Amino acid sequence: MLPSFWPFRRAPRLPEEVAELVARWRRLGEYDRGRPAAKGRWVVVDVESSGLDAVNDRLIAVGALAVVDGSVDLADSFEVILRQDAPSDVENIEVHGIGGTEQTEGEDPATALAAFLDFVGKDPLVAFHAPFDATMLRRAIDAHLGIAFKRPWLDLADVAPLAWPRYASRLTGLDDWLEAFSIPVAFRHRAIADCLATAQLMLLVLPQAPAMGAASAGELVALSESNRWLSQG
Amino acid sequence: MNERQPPPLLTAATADVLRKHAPFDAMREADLVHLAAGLKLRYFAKDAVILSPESGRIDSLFIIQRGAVQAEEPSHVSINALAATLTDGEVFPVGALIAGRATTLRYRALRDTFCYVLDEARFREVMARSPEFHAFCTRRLAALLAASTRGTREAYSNRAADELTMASPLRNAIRHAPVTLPESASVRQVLELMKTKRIGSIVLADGGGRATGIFTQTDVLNRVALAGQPLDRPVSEVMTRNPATLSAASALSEAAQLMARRGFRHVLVLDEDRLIGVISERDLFGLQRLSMQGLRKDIGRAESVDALAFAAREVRELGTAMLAQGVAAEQLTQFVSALNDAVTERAIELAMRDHDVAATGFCWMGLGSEGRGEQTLATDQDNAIIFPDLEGADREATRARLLAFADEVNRSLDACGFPLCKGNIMARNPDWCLSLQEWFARFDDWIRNSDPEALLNASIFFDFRSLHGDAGLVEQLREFLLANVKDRPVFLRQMASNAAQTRPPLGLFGDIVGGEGGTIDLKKQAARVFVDCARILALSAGVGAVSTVERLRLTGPRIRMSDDDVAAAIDAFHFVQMLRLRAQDSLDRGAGASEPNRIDPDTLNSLDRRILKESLRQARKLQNRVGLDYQL
Repeated sequence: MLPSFWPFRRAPRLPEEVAELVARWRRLGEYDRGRPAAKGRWVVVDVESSGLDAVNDRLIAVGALAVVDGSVDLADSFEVILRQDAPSDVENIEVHGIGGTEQTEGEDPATALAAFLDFVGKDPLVAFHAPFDATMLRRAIDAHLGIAFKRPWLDLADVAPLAWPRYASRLTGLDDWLEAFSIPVAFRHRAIADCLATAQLMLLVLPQAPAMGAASAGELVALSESNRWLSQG
Repeated sequence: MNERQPPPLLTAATADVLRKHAPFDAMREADLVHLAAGLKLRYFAKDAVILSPESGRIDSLFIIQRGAVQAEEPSHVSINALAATLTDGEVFPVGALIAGRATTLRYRALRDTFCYVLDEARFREVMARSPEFHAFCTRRLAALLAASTRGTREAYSNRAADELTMASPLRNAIRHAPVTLPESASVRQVLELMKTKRIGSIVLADGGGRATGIFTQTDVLNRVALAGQPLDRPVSEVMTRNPATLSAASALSEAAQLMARRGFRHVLVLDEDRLIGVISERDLFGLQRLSMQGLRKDIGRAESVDALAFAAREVRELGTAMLAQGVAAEQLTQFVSALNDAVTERAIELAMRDHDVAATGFCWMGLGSEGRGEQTLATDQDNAIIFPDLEGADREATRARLLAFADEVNRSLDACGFPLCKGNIMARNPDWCLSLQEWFARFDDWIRNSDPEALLNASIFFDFRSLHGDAGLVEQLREFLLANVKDRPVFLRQMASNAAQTRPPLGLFGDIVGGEGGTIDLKKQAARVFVDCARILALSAGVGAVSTVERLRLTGPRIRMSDDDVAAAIDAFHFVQMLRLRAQDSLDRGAGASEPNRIDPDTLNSLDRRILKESLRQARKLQNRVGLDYQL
């Protein structure tokens, strides 16, 4: 396979419906950065993969759930399993619970990812430890749809410690935060269930945004990005 | 986006959360899933106002996922006593949503709270699909009652509210999976497992996995250690066979009653046929000072009237404690009745040591509220004796022996806190110590004459129940009553007319109208209406049940009362009984006043006043129903 930075590689040939969804997604306008953070649509995203290496492991499943005007609409949600040529190994399956047959009988990856684009639109995305989800999605969308998926991400792993500085030193992983706020998770590491849990954390964060100096959606995303460099840098 | 269906996992997970609470636990899977698929999840920070009268017409139902919401009157924000607190699984504002109006209460998050929100369209769909959900939402009284029960609990007790109430299903009280061993296991194996798992009981199963026995810590002492049994014996020789079982949907109160009645400490909980756990007495009464079971034993072991009186006092204390825990009136009166029965039975057994009356084949009957199993905490005695007309026996000699015996029992019961009956309706009265044939004649006389005295007697004596001795006599008397009353429409009509004399104290505009000093008599003006109407309906339908609730339950379908109407009448009756219990309890604690059933409605909080109003409306409805039947 050609490296993804290679400028002259051939775009993958896409079925008509898929190409149409992708074209429509490209035409969509960017979200309104100036809108209040608690208003409008955020899309919480979680992915399952064949391992923890964002650069080499395969994308197996994607879950997404919208937070609209400070409310989670269970029906405004998305879940897909991408068809794999071969199932991931047993230890991996034990993590996310997506069995071998489910993997090999999943959705055609291009169709699945186009549907994902259609679902998220150009709304800002939310995840806990977003770089992993962002990288997995960017690689897969690039490979199967031939487009660059560079989107604004709000990383709750960066923002939650700003909202509750007292907890910041004690809470690190998603599980810590869920436990601290007694947010239930039906099946941890099942993409859509993790989305629901993460979305509840998001509901808790949104009212705190103005106090963190991020009144608008754009400012909240920027805050997340700047804190990532601070905390990692 | 609503035409989208959420992924099954989300709906299933949400349904699982809901299923922990009524009415969702009773709904069909498909209906619950349909409901779950339409939900949104919203967050309200502590102190946020979720809804208020200013929110305008209500267009969604709120279901608390977790948190706490205060429902309060907007004008009384600071007075918490007037408010109800809603917690996980509770829904609001049902009435306003159904009626399509604004809410009268303000709903405020007491702490960080997550609510599921169901839009009106989906709410109506689910109402149409699910009879359970429909019944729950339309039976507002029941929902209000639940809120009031919690209110009671909070008013009485400052400790963190126990999530389980006596009405919770056993399923929710199970703390761990059952620990089982094959019944062929040795006692040693069982003891070792109990030690390593640190548990108090082990269930033994046969080859087919069917639970055949239970072995508990107490058994270790009694049947192994003290009995000197070797530890290598199979446990099947010392276990308790055929342990008591209840279904997972049964209420905690049922388990408690089963334990109280039969003297068990453990009950196996079955889901379908599968064993899912063991409920022990300690699980049920962990918070309670007094144990039902212990009390039941104390009563049964009392060797003197003094000891019995002491146990009877503890029954009243237990009743008060249960009232404080928010145990519903129905369960509470059942417990109190069950324990009072035990006290009576023991008083009879003690008296029989001095009086040789067993050979008479007598039966001791409880009458009136005792007969109906509806005793409150302050109940005087109503009892009688029935004895068989044995061939060759001298009826008067038998009566003389029984009267002497009854006098001792009546005095013992008086010492135990059941005052002697002012109307002398007691077994020691020769008028009420009769043979079966004499009772037939007496009942027949009342039914034929239906004069005021006969009607008054009927209202006490027709609620009879066997407490000790040959229950067959009582059943014969009941058959006689039902067979004869049916042919006497005049008598029933007189009873109905009598029952219509006292109207529930409701004004023209549905407000409560108090008498002297603005008070109402909960017994005469409310409870008795239900009791009298239920008696008439049951007798005319040939229903032999004695308790008011059973009478309504069994008679309702026969006279085409809808299930909802029956349920509403029963709830209303229970509520009135609970107010009576509460009123009596505050009297005990020195609030004064000579009339234990009188309350001032203005001293109730707004929620309870609303429920009382609705309960009185139910009483009037029932009375009207009886009136119609007899064209009064």
